[in-house]
Amino acid sequence: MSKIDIACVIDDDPIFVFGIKKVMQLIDFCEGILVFKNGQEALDNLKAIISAKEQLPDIILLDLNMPILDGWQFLEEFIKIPCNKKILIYVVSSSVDPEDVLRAKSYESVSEYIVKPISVAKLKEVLYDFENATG
Amino acid sequence: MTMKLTRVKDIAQDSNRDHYLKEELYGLIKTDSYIFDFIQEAALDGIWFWDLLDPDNVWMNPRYWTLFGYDPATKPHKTDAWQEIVFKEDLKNIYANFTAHAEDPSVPYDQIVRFKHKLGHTVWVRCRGVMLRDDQGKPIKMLGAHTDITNIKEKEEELRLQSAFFEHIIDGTGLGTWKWNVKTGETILNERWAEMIGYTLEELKPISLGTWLAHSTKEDQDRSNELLKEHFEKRTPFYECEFKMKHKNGEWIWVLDRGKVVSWDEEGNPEWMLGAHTDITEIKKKEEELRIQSAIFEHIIDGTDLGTWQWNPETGETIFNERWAEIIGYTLDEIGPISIDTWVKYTHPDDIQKSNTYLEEYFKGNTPIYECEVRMKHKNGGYVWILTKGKVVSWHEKGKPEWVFGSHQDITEKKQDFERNRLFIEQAPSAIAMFDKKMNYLAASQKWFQIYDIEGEDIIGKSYYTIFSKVSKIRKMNIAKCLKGTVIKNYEEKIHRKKGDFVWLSWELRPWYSDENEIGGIIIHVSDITRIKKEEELKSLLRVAEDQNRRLKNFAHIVSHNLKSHSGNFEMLLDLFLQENPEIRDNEIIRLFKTASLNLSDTIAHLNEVVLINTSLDKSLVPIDLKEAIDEVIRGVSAIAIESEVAINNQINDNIRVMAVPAYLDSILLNFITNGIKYRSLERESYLTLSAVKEDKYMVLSIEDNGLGIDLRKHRSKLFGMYKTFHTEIKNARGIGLFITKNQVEAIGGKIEVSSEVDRGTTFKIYMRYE
Repeated sequence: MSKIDIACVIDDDPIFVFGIKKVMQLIDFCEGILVFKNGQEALDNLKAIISAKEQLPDIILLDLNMPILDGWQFLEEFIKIPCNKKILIYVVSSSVDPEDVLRAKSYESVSEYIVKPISVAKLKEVLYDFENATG
Repeated sequence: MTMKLTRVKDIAQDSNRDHYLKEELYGLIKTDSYIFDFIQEAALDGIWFWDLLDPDNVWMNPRYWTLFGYDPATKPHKTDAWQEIVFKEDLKNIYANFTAHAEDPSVPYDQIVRFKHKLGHTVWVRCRGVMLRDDQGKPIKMLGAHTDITNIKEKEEELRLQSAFFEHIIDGTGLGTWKWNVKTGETILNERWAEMIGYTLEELKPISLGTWLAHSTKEDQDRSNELLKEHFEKRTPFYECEFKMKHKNGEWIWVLDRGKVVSWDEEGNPEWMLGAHTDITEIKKKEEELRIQSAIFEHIIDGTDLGTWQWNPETGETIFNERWAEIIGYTLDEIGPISIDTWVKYTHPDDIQKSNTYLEEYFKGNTPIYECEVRMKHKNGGYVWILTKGKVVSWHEKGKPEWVFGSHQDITEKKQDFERNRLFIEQAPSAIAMFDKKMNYLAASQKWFQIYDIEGEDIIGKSYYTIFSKVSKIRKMNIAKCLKGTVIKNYEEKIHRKKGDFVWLSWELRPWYSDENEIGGIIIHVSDITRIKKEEELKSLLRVAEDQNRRLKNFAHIVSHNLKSHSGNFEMLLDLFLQENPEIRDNEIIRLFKTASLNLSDTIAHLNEVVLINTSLDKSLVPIDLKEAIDEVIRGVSAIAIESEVAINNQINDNIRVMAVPAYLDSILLNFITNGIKYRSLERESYLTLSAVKEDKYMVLSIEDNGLGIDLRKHRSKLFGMYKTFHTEIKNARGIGLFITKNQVEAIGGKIEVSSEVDRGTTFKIYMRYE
């Protein structure tokens, strides 16, 4: 059983980011948090981390609707990057459109589709899943 | 006086000497003046004795004056006296004769002189005179005598006038007359005779029989001689012969010569013969033309299969050729004698009337040719179709037809073809009509009548333009083009019908050919494209709707995402706030704040559901077993049902499969069933019965309960509205269920009907398409 070292949040909504950080702290979700405002920023930075062989996040909470590079586009690009570390990706969106849900699930690397707002309980579930999966 | 008498005696001497009475009379005259008086009074119409040495003096006897109506006593013996009444024109002649006689006694002084009678008329007098000369021969006296010849002169004049009158008449008739003495050969011609062959009579002189011979042909002369001989032998009352004569201009003219012997000698031989030439060139020319025309006609006809007829309406004379009879299976002999009744006999009575009408129209000049299709009875008992055409080849001067020539053509086969076409068109499943060249209807299909909404009208034989009074310019133009041979396709026009509506028609106009190159008329093919046109309109409407739908989807997306994320943030922040500050949990405002946030999320969730339904119109439907689906839902709600004591009966038969989206069908069923439980009556044993029947293209699912019921008079319009609730006593009524259900039913192509009675129960009928 291991703890989440670094969690990555990719979302353009500062309120959500503020909220999620609070909840993470509250439940002691992880050691460190990386936050990117859109897919492009996330992609650039994660690529840099990989090439610098620095530590990659263990888990990514990905919003779908974002400027520049949205969640889907990010996914498309990110899965192409060769990486030996297993990163859990959660799609976290306000959309309840079944199409979005189905699409998200079509990606092997996407663990779950979480509808906003994300509650304390839900995040605890995620943490629990992570600990079991890696444990 | 003695001297004078001597002179008289000298002159008379030679011829009168022998007779004694004469001598005695002469003697008496010499001795007894009474005798002389008697002679001059009785035998002569006046005597005068003129003194040439003193020319003023002249003695005139009383008779001289009485002849002119004067009293001799009133007239002096002066030259002036007679000169007053003599015609001035004749005086000149008198002087000339006088001078001639004076110079040469052998020239007789003998002339006709006119005098004016006292009453005004003319008196013709033969005036003779003799001059008495002296020894030297010089005339000294002149003795003259008058004879009244007025009567003779008048008769002569009368004759002359009469003769001139006849000449005049003959001139008027244009007859060239001739008189011929058969015995002597003497020949007299009039001016017109010469003129007829381009000459003046003067030019032809000397006139003889040879004049004619020179201008005619040997053949004609021989024939003429034959005819003359017949007449001379009194075998013919007239001599009559037509022959050619050479005109001065080199052309031949045709002459009708008629003559008769008017005098015969004692032995019965002809003497004088009178006759006249008539110019018949024009008539001959026409006859010739007609003959040639007729010959050509016959010639041409022989080469074709045409029967021919010639008919003189006035005389009734009728001529048919052999082919005429052959067409109807006979020989000419079999149907003879030929008359117009022969035609009437073999022609269909209905068609005779038609033919007569056409013939009349032609005679009136309304049609360029007589042309008619008739049925004629064939020898074999059937009818053959004949196209008969005719034309007047000669007219009477009054404009009445004389000879009509025409043809018969067997068109039975063509007619049968045409009939087949006509039948074909009548039976055709599309709107077709056939017209002749004048755009009269020949045939039309049933569909044609339907499209134009003219069923039951009798249009055959009537003009297209009579049936449709409003024909657009472009259609008229197209028809005209088509009649000239152009095929017109895909021409569309909107037609207003009699009953007030309109149809969109697509036209095709094609000429049809009666002969290889002759257009017989046109065929119009019309299709009703109203539906297509309407579909086009619908399609454009649909495009608008799709456009709106797309925008709605965009809107739905905004609702789905943005609104929801804001409300989600609210919810999350509120949760966090409460976690960090557990002491304010019971604060009234915070509590209400929490409720409002939940309500907002709820509402947005509902909206989302609705939006998702509306955007799922194009989702594909799958067949679902209705009975199984219902059982599944019943299982899910069984706990509540048992608790609420509602009996749910699924009476759906096996194997009924409706077309639906599984999630929707579940939602629909769940909603109705939970509603049925929710709105049960607490005052009786509740039940909920589900059954299904087929109705047309729908499977109708009935969900019947005996619950509270809904006052439909008040609420029907709002029943399926959003956030509508009708039962205040039910606490958890959201007012969204029926709204969503209705939308879901409609999304899968169905509909909902409802009947309800307050406190008795409600029945919902859900119409769904089935497999």
